[in-house]
Amino acid sequence: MPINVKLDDLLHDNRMTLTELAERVGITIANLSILKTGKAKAIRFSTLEAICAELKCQPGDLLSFDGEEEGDA
Amino acid sequence: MNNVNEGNANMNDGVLKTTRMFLTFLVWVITVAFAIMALVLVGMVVVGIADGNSLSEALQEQFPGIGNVVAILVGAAVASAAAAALWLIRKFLLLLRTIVDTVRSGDPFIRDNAQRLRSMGWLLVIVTVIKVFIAGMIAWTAQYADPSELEARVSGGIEFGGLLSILLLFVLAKVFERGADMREELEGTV
Repeated sequence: MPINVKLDDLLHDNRMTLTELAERVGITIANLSILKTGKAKAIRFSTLEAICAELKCQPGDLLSFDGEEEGDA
Repeated sequence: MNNVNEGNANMNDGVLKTTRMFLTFLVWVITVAFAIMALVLVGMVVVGIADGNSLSEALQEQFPGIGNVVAILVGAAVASAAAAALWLIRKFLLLLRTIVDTVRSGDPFIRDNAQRLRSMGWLLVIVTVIKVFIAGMIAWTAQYADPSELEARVSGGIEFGGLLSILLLFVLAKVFERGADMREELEGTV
């Protein structure tokens, strides 16, 4: 998927488990799991804000774009 | 965001619960009515085969001039049509009850419900046709009835409300399809 979610590294840096993060940000573990495994189709700003606040990071630390540049008109 | 939905849910569950109980009761009533109609039909066939004369004699009393075989056929036709209509109405009620269950479970906007609503629409269409057929049959036999003896009112046909209900069901099916689209769009959102 072109948008990568680097949740694992950030969790490790903060010495947090997925479960702990879920509790702290008020997101279900199911949803966090979907996010972590790259199966999410969309993320709400409120979710992004909550995760960044908890993991003390920027959105750019959490997400990266990995698409191939196609020739634009 | 969940709090808003919970508030609505508490209010609606009284309505949904009552509706579900009422539907279950109706299904039970219709099942009994269907069983009775089926027995009447079987009875007519059995008596007709075993002792056709007394059956047609009884019918001749009520409807002098009507032919033996015709009388029995018409009776059987009406009874079968009525049984069929009852069965279809039962199906209709069960579909509606299933939809109510999905609403109570909190996830009603699924394609299955759109399909159920469409089925309910078609069931009503068929039941309406049967109603017209039965009314026609009864009206037809009325010409043989002795006016002084018999007092009957035949009303049956296509009511405006029935037509509107059918249209409403098909429209609702589209609404639920759109709801299912939106739900699927939302599915991967965290």
